[in-house]
Amino acid sequence: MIIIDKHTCTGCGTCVEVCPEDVYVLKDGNAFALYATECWVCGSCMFDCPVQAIEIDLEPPHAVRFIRKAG
Amino acid sequence: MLTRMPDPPFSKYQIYLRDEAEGSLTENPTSTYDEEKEMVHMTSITTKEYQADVAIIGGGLSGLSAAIEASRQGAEVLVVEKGNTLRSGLAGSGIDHIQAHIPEFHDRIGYTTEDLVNDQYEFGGNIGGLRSNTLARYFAEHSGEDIRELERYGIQFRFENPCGQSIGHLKPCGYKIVPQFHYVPTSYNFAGRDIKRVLTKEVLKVGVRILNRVQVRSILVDEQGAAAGVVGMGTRSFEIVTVQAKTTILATQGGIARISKAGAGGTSFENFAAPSASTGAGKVLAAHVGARVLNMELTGLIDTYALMDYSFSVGLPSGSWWPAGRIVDENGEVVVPRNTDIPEETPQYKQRYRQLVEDYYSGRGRIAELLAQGRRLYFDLQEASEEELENIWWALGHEGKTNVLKHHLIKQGVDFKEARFPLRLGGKGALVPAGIWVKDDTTETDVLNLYATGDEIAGTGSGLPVAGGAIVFGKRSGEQAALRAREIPSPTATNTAQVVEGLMRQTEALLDDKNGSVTWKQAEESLQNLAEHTLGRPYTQVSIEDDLSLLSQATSSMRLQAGNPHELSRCFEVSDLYQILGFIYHAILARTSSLGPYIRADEADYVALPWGVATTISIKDGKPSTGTVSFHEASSSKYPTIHR
Ligand SMILES: Cc1cc2nc3c(=O)[nH]c(=O)nc-3n(C[C@H](O)[C@H](O)[C@H](O)COP(=O)(O)OP(=O)(O)OC[C@H]3O[C@@H](n4cnc5c(N)ncnc54)[C@H](O)[C@@H]3O)c2cc1C
Ligand code: SF4
Ligand code: SF4
Repeated sequence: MIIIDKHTCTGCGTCVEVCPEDVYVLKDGNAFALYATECWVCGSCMFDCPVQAIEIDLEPPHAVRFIRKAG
Repeated sequence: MLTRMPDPPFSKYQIYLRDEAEGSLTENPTSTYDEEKEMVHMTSITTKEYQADVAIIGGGLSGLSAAIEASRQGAEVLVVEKGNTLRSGLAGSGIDHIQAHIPEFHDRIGYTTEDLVNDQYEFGGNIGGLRSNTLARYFAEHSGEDIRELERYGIQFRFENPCGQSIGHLKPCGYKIVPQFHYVPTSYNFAGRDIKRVLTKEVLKVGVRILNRVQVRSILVDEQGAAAGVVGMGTRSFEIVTVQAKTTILATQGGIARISKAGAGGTSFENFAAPSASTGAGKVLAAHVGARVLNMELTGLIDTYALMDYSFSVGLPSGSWWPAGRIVDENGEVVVPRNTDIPEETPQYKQRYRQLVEDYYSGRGRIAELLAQGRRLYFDLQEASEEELENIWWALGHEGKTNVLKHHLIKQGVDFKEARFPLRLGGKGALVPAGIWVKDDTTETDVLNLYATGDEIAGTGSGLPVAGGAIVFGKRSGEQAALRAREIPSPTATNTAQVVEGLMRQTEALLDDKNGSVTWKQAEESLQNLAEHTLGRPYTQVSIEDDLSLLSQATSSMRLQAGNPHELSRCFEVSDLYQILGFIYHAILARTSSLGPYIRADEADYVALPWGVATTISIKDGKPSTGTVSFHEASSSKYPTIHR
């Protein structure tokens, strides 16, 4: 799951540049995940974005199924 | 130990769900991809030409290593990369360990170069692959030095028990090592999250040119059939790129993970899940110019069980989890015990590793079996020491997708030590011991002036030593391709016009909406269904013949359609996957006997062939042509090793 904080994004284009799957385009001055379904969840855009506007997270149902506290 | 981060205020975020079918989390789910998609109606296809001494296909770990070395040897180098070398390939978002034989370290723990050669050879066989003594020896003899070059580029290796002081720093005295799949512990921990960025910087520093966002579609040849450059298509523009080169290196990564659904990227954190690189492009490119591809018939779709990134390494002598984890059932009974510390000093140290690895392989089967029976199993770290937890936590931050997992754990506020991670049966993942035949450690293929490297070489691809192999054989191929280029006055391709014309026609057909209606996604899914149907269970000669004719029908009747350069590049990838499945079927039909651990169930008294004989496939006169090659004792290098 790709989460983009529109207010933080400066439209610098780094994510567009690095994404190996060509997921992003710039649209109206923001990053836009045009091909989101092709993301391979590598996390690159998340750690290369200079202003931390992107979050890549596990999506349901995986996210909830994976983690369970003991007891 | 872990702090909970505040939940993100969702309303202010734009959320894109990877799988629209899974529902949405937001008030403004962006499910309007189709409307947003700007369908670029074909304008015109442009062309651009380049020249170089050495053309490298793929700027992954091996391609970039090759580029640096070729440039050092004085060659003018051009790397053609489908994505962007900053983050492309399997190591795009990081790796946390790398294999090498570092003599002073291994001497200390009692292993010789010979041990490492034998180990690589043995594992090349177990996992599949070339099992070439020549390559194994080359790796054992050069990896120590080659890998430490990464340190000079500023990549931080991890050290255990820092000792002594140097100027202002703690001076490290021993590399932090993790045993991985092998009898000899050879994997060094290092901070590799940004390894592709670091290598890209080094590549540019030595003056190599990089063409990003170009997918190579053909290798050019001269009158004698020798490789002489490449032709590719832009993935963001309709631009056909031609590179005339004296020598050519295939560094495209050997995987074909996208042949199965489980392997086709995504959130399941299995190592099988791979980026778009894993479509077998290199094998298709090589076969079409007559280079032989080995072992395609050994491709199997095997059951995987998954805990995020660690499909078959959970709690076992592998991966960053080792040796801290264990597997328990719903009642807390231990199913697979944790592999506790093995003090280096004990005489059983070496034997202990062997035992661990063997337990690991049998445990792997057992876990999948139990899960298939419906048992609930969990991975946990409850017996892990603080130091082990710290180590794993560190490693999670470097090995690519585990970074995303780490982020998720932090967000969830999960107590790493207390958590139980449910295991589940993954899908069928493609295990691919296949690769491009190289005649010896020069990495030259049987097409003159064409080299193959990294995971793409049979015997390292899927057979390990993965990143280590990519660096070592990357360097080697760069050196050899550059030396050969010195002997060639200028590039000699004679089929450029024909290849460019062919690509143009293919492109026009794919863009013509009167021609077809099948999207690349639909085509990929059909292919995955067929592959799973065939390879996910025992097959017979007859069933494969049937499947082959199904595949041929599907291929000839399929009318793929693309609307823009991005979709066009996906269509090309899918068409490679169709060819790859065909290679697999042809190779299965060609192999009539068992090989090593690969036993044909229909042979009553099977006599396994020695490992040194492999089935090969290449394209002759437009048709797949199979044969065998014997490579047990590959000849020695034709070219001398330049000062290393
Ligand atoms: C999540 C993950 C974690 C891993 N962790 C480790 C680890 O910790 N240690 C380890 O030793 N190994 C690890 N590996 C394996 C390691 O990353 C690979 O073995 C290594 O990257 C292989 O190098 P390569 O150069 O052969 O392929 P890659 O690095 O994958 O590079 C291939 C390149 O070719 C490009 N390409 C493909 N087709 C074309 C085309 N037609 N035209 C142009 N370019 C093309 C691709 O975009 C890609 O950039 C990991 C793999 C994964 C997926
Ligand atoms: S890298 Fe970050 S700031 Fe730059 S365009 Fe992408 S999301 Fe916006
Ligand atoms: S996680 Fe990787 S593949 Fe997904 S959008 Fe970000 S950079 Fe692209």
